[in-house]
Amino acid sequence: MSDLEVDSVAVFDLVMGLEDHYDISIPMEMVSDIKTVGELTTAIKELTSE
Amino acid sequence: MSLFDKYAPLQTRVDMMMKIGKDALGVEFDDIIDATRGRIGNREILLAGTNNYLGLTFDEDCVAAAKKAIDDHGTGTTGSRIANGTYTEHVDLEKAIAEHLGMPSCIVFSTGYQTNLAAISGLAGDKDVIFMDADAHACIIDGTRLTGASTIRFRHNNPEDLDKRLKRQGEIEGGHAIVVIEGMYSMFGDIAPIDEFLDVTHRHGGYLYIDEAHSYGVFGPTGCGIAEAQGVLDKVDFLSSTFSKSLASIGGFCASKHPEFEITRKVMRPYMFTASPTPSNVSAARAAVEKIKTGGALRDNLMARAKQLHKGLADMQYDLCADASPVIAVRRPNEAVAAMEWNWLIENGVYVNLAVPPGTPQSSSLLRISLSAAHTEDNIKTILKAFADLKDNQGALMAGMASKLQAAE
Repeated sequence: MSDLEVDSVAVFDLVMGLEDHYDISIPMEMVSDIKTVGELTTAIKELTSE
Repeated sequence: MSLFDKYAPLQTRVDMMMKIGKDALGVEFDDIIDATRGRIGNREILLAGTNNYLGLTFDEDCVAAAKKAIDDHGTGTTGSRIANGTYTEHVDLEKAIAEHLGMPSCIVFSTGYQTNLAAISGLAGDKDVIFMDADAHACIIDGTRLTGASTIRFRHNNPEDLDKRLKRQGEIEGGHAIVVIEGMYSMFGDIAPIDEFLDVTHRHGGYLYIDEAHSYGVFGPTGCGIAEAQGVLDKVDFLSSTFSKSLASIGGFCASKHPEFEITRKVMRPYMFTASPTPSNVSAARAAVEKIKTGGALRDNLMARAKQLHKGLADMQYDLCADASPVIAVRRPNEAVAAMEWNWLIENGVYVNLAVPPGTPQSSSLLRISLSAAHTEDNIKTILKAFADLKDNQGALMAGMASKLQAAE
């Protein structure tokens, strides 16, 4: 997540919060591919529309 | 543009550390005298950060076993067990650990890191889902990366959060849930409620995998670890550990109550494509297993020292990350302060670990102490005195840091 300049652990902690907020699972292998906030938003939209 | 440009931000961090003092992640000892003493230059250093929990590195019997194995079977195996075959030492150690844990299967590996890498990648198939504690060690994370399985993180030491995520996942079509936790966590020294994790995991039809790297030999009436201490060892599906901490050697094992675990010897790449552990390393670990089984007195001393140090540091108002355990982590305000203090401690004869993000939970900067059964009451007083002096000299220390950084500008 180079946009936010946070370390890898902080990114995964943020992801756990998003998983709970939207009641979705965002697997770690998906997070590794996400580099920007825009990509994260797209991923969440896809997961919530499933 | 150079190949190494991507490391520029990291280089800046290292440069800052070097301006303050030594490289905390690359300390060079001129001598290791015994389990608790080293030497740098003319200064003797009290070792309080080497995970030598039972202090067996110089144990007479372990040393003798290692020497005999070299005489009997040579210095190295020169290859993996699938290529060069299995030595009697490998079989003896696997049997001894399986028997100690009361499990039908045990496989030994060449390092602790490779143990989790191998076992997790061997157990998880493409359709399985791994649920991993948020504070899991790097080797667990890397193990999940060797698999085609999805990996979900749950909140640290929180069985309810695991339950929520298992429910959210629902039925796993064509696969199973593998829940991976640790017994005692290496950075904070906090302990997992294994009994509760077993309930949640098995209620959802999953398998529980516990890494007892920092707890095998250290906890439980016969030293089997936290699961034994909590009375649930017989329910654990997979238990891994390392030989490089309480067993004072190098290597690792994974044992299972499922005899079918043996089949993974044919698929685990970090087992198949690396040299098997040497006869001497395996024999030292084998001798240490016997020490562990009857090591009640060692464990009692270790816990007494842990309580002594924990109380002393708490009395000085240091911010400690968990209850008393053989790992005691002191939380510091930031990386620069922690690095400065770490340098001050080693200059004053006490070696602890400087632990910084991303290797730490909650992006914390820590002075991490690990204790040994070989530490004496006086050793703990020495550590406490160093931390007391550190507090008293805080003003001078910070002024010193500022001037060192300025001088380097």
